[in-house]
Amino acid sequence: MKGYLRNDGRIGIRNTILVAYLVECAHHVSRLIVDRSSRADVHLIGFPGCFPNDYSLRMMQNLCTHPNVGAVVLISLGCEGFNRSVLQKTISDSGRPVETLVIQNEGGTQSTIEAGLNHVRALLEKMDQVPMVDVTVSDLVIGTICGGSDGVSGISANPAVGRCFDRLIEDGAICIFEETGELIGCESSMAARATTRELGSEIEAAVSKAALYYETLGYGSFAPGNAEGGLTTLEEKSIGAYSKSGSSAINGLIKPGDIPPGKGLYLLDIVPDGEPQFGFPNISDNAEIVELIASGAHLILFTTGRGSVVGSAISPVIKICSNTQTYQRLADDMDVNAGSVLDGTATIDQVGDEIYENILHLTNGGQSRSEALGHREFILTYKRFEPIGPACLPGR
Amino acid sequence: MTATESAESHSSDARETAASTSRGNKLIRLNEQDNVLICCQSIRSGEVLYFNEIQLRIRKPIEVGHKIALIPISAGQRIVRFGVPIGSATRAIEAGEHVHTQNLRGDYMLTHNRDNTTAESNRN
Repeated sequence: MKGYLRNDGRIGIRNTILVAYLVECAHHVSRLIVDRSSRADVHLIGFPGCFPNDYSLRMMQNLCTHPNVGAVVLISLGCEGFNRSVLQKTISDSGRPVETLVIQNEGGTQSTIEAGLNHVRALLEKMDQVPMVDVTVSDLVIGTICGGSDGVSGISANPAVGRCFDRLIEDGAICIFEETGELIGCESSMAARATTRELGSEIEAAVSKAALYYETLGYGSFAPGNAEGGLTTLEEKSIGAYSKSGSSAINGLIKPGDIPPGKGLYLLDIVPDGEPQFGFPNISDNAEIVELIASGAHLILFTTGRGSVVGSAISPVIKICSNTQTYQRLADDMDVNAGSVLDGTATIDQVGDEIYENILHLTNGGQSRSEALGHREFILTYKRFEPIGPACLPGR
Repeated sequence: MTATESAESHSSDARETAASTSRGNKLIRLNEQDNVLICCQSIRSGEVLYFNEIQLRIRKPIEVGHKIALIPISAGQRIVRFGVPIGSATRAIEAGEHVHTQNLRGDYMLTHNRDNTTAESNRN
């Protein structure tokens, strides 16, 4: 397997150009640059808000210097609060080519689109020069998320991802699972798997924080479709979701944008710190996917029972379906049918191996279903985090 | 499947039990402590299924992923799935009855449906 060696030493499995808007007012111009480039490897990301926010700046810095990203075009309206010079410097310091266009200086929509397309063309030529190097599983960061879970997700798709995670970790990869709000009830089990007692306490505190946060907002992380799929309570959903983490020791607790320092399994705490102030922690699945990617994920394993179709900008998404009915109904969108476990035609181990093979296929340049269908969803909103404490990464 | 037919398939349903999922099983029990079974294939109203020696009369259609009671459960009793409690029964539940939002409530945060349009209505 070959990957793209960046100037900062990181290795990507995709060679993507990002066009990034720095406020909603620059969104349309950015989208047209991406659309008119007619390239599957030119992706749109951005931040809609005009007020500055440390979290979103950090997220954009990490996303624009992700190993799958080779170059960036920043599109600013000109008057927004986003610190574009800091973002540009971060990208430039990482050795990636970056161009910034300010719509108010460029002379408006039309001229900015033309200038943006010219930059994209020039950057594509530079991207062809990126050296290719050997990639092994130990170079990969893999994230997992569930969306549209049903009553069998926790029996088929989620434990199959857990089995795949165990195998990836044995082979030296970094694996990240997330959503402390969907792990309410599993805190003592997770604490027992932590490599130190202090890390275990941090994990329990993170779940307590999540419970309080969601309680304050009045909704747990539970969608009506979960109930239609047979899940009744939050703790029932939690136990099923938790099985995605496999059985390896938990090496650390990170927050969005923290890149795991070494191989092993990490829990991503996505719930903001302090009093709830910007709304729900993550307003939809793609917000979580973006955070996994900002923490370095090259690939996302997405389990679904009801049938999610999303992909993502920057990193490909593999769909693992929990039941054969949904798999057949949404066949074009699903990569792996874990419903075979319920049908009695495959074991959890076999489905775990199939997911592993899919990861190798994608690393080798193959496309996932959502990727081939052009799904490049992206969402980033306001949040606030404190840095993680020293007990969160005992191995460092 | 009629009651008679399911009685004929009694042997396969009855002997293939426990957490392992074997071909054709409509219901699985994930843990020996569980008082609910998980539906793995759609079950029609009127079907009679057997789990070990326990006869279960299914009175409404049950879709994949949903739960039915393996034994009678009294109001307030914990519902156990994966060997751990997932909430408490809000009223008495008969063996074979669908276990869901109408008779099971979480012990943590409440879940919601599309009729609850605001966080305030969800709290009620």
